[in-house]
Order: sequence, then structure tokens, then C-alpha cells
Amino acid sequence: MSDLSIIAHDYALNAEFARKFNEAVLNLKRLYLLRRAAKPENQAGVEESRSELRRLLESLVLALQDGAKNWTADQAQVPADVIDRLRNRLKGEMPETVAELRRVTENLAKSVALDKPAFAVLDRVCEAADATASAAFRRLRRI
Amino acid sequence: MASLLHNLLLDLRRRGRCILKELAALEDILSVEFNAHRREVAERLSRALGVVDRMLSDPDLADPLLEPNFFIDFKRLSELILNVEDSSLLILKRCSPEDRFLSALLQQICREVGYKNSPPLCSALSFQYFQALMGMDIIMTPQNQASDLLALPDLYHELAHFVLFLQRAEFEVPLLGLIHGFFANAIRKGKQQGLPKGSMNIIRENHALWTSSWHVEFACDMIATYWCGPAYGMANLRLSATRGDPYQDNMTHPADDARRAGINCILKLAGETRAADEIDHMWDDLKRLSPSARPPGYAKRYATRLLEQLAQCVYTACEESGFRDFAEQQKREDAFVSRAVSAAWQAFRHDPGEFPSFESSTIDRLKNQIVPA
Repeated sequence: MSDLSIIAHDYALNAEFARKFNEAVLNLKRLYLLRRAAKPENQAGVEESRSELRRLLESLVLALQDGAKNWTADQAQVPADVIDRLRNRLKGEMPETVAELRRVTENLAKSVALDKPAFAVLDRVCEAADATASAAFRRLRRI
Repeated sequence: MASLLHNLLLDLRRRGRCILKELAALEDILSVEFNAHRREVAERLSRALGVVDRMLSDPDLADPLLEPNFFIDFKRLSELILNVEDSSLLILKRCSPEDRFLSALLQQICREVGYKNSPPLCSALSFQYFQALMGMDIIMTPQNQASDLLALPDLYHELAHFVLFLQRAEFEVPLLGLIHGFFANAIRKGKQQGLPKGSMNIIRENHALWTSSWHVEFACDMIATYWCGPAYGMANLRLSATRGDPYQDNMTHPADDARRAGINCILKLAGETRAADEIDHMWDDLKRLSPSARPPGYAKRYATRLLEQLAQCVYTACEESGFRDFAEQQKREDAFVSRAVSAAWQAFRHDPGEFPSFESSTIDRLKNQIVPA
């Protein structure tokens, strides 16, 4: 009824997306950039991170390339605020960024190791999602 | 030397442990419902502190490749701890007899409407009307809510916010699909008709408003109407009467008049056409008292066809979720809150002068019915 209910809704969605995306990127960075061999007990976690990241990236690529023209339910996995922020940040580099995100998604699907450029683009998404969650949190607390 | 992030995590752990200690100290003085919330929050906080401990002992914490990602994790954990302190701890430390009554009332409402998740905790600590804090399982109400029957339908609206969040795939996602489709069609037609750039920009602006927040408010009104029937429409009019221009909207909330139209769509789908017409007449009266004109473009901004499609979508989702509609609750002996809310609005409309004594006796009866001895 008050603005706060709407802001709390936005914050909960944005924070959850930021947390999930960042967690998956962190786990995979540890494996592919720091070459920390996944212990047998962590193998399931790594696989989970790969499939989670792939799922989120597929939605993100769809949302960034098509926008509302051909909106499908798959796009709803990425909060609209995150999409807006990424669009604003990527203005001149959208085609290259979408192509790179698509490449990362394909590599995740083929179980190919991710390289430094892949993590560079993933970090941009992490930063945008984090900034969106933080902005919603500040609105929620009016700070 | 320890990194800045390491020190921030140590500070976060200290603050979290302090809150955990305060939560533990409340165990013996809280009622069953409030203790259940306290336990859930304490478990969540303990898990968060476990993550902090793991980060502190992580040999890669200060690695430049990973540090920014750890910092992002730190921020989410810090937000959780601040939220616990500002909402759950605040309510648990100050819980009043009114809070216990409202929480028990909300639990009963959840049973009556067929809400399947655990009922949120309710507290009369808001200074900004009703608030649903999704991430914390809390609804805040105005100070006087425990003795205001006519505003009780608004509690159903706040509960609907949880439905929209927790059952996003069944409610919010199909709604977004409808709205995106509607505006994609409007843009295509606009291009075919060669509309000027300004008109196309207005369509795009309306599209953004509908998909950013308005759909949530419309949907919550519609779910609340499904549960609460005509009483919700009248409570909405009562609230709108205090807010001025019914055609004014903002980034988070559509115009009150458009919300009325959305509510009436659900009433008509539920077969409450007569009640919908009566509410429309009351709105005509309200507009007579406070004349204001529909701004240009209003009819396109709140297209009737879109509202009808939304209402049908929400109505179907409510049915498929197994929620009990207003009519079904009215037939059930055990749905005494629903019956009390409906009776309150009938009593108020029949004789507003006598209403205070009706309200007082009804609240006393509700307290006896729902608060365990």
C-alpha cells in the first residue's frame, strides 16, 4: 500500500539475483582463474554454479538483445532494474557485450573452461546487479 | 596487515553476534507466534554468520581477482543484518498486545483465504501506512490498526504482496507477459499509423510504468478483492478519499481511479456486478466532492482492455492456486474474519453513527475467537 512494499519487493528480487549471480561467478573464478582444483566434495557445487550461471545468462542475453519486443517468461529471471542498469552502462558496447555473454553461455553449456575475458564481462554483470541491489536497499532505508 | 574487507567482515560478525544475543534473550518473554519468527530469524542470521566465518578463513579473500566478488557478498550480508535489526528485532523487542492480536488475526486470514506459506508477522509499528517487507516476512500496519475494522481489507492487500513475490511464476510473470505483449502491439500499431515521436514516447513511458511497479499494485488490489470482495472496493474508496486527486499517479502507484477500475473488473468476474456498480456510484459522489479532470491521455494510459486482461489472469491464478474467494469464505462458519470485515462495511453503510459500538463489540469478539487463552 505504501511505496515501501513496492521497494521491498524490488529489493528482494534484485538482492537475490545479485547474490546468486555473484556466488556462481566467485565459485567459477576460483576454479578457472586461481586454478584451485575442485575437491570431490565441492564438485557438485561447481556444476551447480555452471548450470545456474548458464540459466541466468540465457535469460539475460534474451532480455538484452530483444527487450520487450519478443518478451518471454524466461526473461523474468533477471530483474527489470538490472536490465535497465546494464542497458545504461553498456550503451555503445551492447552488441559486443551481448556477443561475449553468448559466447560464455555456450562455453558453459559445453563444459569448456572460462577465460579472463569471460570473467571480465561476468564481472560487469555482477557490478550492475550489485549496484541495483544497493540502490534498492538505500531506497528501502531512505538513506 | 589484514585487508580492509577482512576488518569489515570482523565488524559485521561482531554486529551480527550482538543481534543474535539480543534475539536469544527474548526467547522466554515472547508468545508462540513471535518466538517462531524469532527462531527463524536467528537461524537465518546464524547461517549468514557462518558465511562470514568461512569468508574470514578463506585463503583467497585478499586475492585481487576475487576480492571484489567477496565485497559484493559482504554487502548482501550486511544488508541482511541491518534488515534484521531494523525490522525483526525492533518488532520482537517491542511487541505489544496489539501486535499479538494483529499477527493472530493475519494467521486466521491466511487460513481463511487458503494462503499456503507461513503467515508473516504483523506489527503496528509503521509510520507510513501499511508496508509488506517481503524479505523479512513482516507486515507493518498503522498504530491504530488493531481497532480499525474498515481498514482491515488493506491487510489482505499486503498479504497479496507476499503471494506475488513467493508465487512469482504463477502471478507476476504471466502478468508481465500480458503487459509486454499489449505495449509491443501498441508500438507496432503506432508505427504503422505513423504516430509522431512524442506519442510513441508516451507509449514507451506507459509501458515502463506498468512493468516496473504498477502491475504489482494492480495485482495486489485484484488478489485482495478476490479474497475480500466488495469490502476491498469500499476500503479503497475510503483510502482514496484521503489522498486527493484520483487521477494522479506516480512511479510506484497507479492512479486511484484506475485501481478502482481494476478492483471492479474482479468484482464483476466474481459475479458481484451490483456491488461493483454501487462502488462506482460512491466514486461518482467522491469525484463530485472533489472535482478533478482526467489528464490528457488518461484512457490510453489505463486501457480498459489491459485491465480486463490482467483481472482475468489474476482471477485464474487465484483459482489455480486454490485460494478461497470472498463468496466461498462467506459460506464458511470458520471464516469469521472475512465475515466480520464484510459485516463491518455493511454496518457502516447502514448506520455510520452506530458503527463505533458495532466495531468495538466485533473486535472484542474477534479477540476472543482468535487469541489463544
